[in-house]
This record gives sequence, structure tokens and C-alpha cells, in this order.
Amino acid sequence: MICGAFMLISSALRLSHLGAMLLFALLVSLALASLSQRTRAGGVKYVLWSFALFVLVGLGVAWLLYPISR
Amino acid sequence: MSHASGDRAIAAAHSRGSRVSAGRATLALFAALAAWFVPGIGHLLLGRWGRALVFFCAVSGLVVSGYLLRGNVFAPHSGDPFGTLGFLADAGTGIFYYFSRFFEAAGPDVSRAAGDYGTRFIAAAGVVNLLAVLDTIEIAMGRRS
Repeated sequence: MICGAFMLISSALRLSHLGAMLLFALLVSLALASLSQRTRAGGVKYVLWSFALFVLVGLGVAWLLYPISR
Repeated sequence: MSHASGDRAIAAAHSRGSRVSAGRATLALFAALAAWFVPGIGHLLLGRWGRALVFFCAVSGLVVSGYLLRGNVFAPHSGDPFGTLGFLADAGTGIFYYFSRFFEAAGPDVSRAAGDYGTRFIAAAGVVNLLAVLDTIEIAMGRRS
């Protein structure tokens, strides 16, 4: 039953490439902030910076690779 | 105080110190094993509720998304160095590694880009959890706040 529910969620939740990148950036940023920062304010600032850099670098690399993708 | 009583006091302090460090090492080992097996539990045992929640959500979110994207989960005996590295990263997810066959009943599908992303998600989850294990050890040994 759980397996069936999981398959249902899997088919309902279809992540786009951008969605997958945003999710990855958010979760990894949260974990890295928790590892490296000891204060809440520092952690929030770290998450925002790390998330923004993940997304910007990801989009930058995507545009650089675009000419050779087709 | 005579030299003899001073020496005895120093020996007693050393003995207390070694008992404390042995206790800390046992706690660190236990917390590290727990942290590897269930992400976040190591921090929970050490009273770090917030960090425990963040690690559980990050690792479970990454690994479940990886399964939803039908990423590849590496077997222990792949016979290939990259496969072994992949296995070590995947095994870092602890209990989630054993759930993989249950959740990915249809098997991995790396013929699509999404499946390839899923493979990276699962490996990243394992690496994040291994970093959390190291953090648990540092906290238990008293080297971090």
C-alpha cells in the first residue's frame, strides 16, 4: 500500500529540470549552513547566499553549454 | 603540600581526565553510528534539536527526490571504482539505502536526464549525512559548540 502511495506521489510530482535544481540548491544550502554557521542570523545569511550562488552558477553553466547542446 | 601528595593529586586528575575522554569517545561513537543510520538522530541525542531537524529534512528530501526521479542506487559489489565510490556515497544515507528497493520498485531509469539527476541527489544526500556524522563526532568530543 505504501509502495502504491509512493508511486502515486511519484507520478503526481514531476520535477522539471529547473525545479530539481532549485530543490537541490535549497536542501544542500540548508545542510551546509547548519554545518558551518553557529548563529541563526549567520545561518539565514549563509542559506540565502549559497542558494543564490547555486542557482546563478547553474544558470550560467547552462547558458555556456547551450551552444553545444544541439 | 609535599611532593608525594602533589604527585598523587596530578595522577588523580589525569585518571579523571582519561575517564572523561573515554566517556566522550564512547558517546561520540554511539552518536556517530546513530547519526549515520538515521539522519539527524545523532544531533538529537546531543540535544541539538534544530540541527537534527535540518539534517533529517535535507537528507530525506534529497534521497526521496532522488528515488522519485528514478536515480541509480549503486550495489556494494559493482567491480568498478566509480561504482564503489557511488556505493560509499549512497550508503551514507543510512536507513534510506535499505529503503531504495522498496521505493524504487520499477528500478532506476538513467536513460532520461531526470534519472541521472536522481543519482546525484541520492549521492549528495549520502555525502551530506556523512558530513553530519563528522559534525556529531566533533560536538560529542567537545571540539565544537
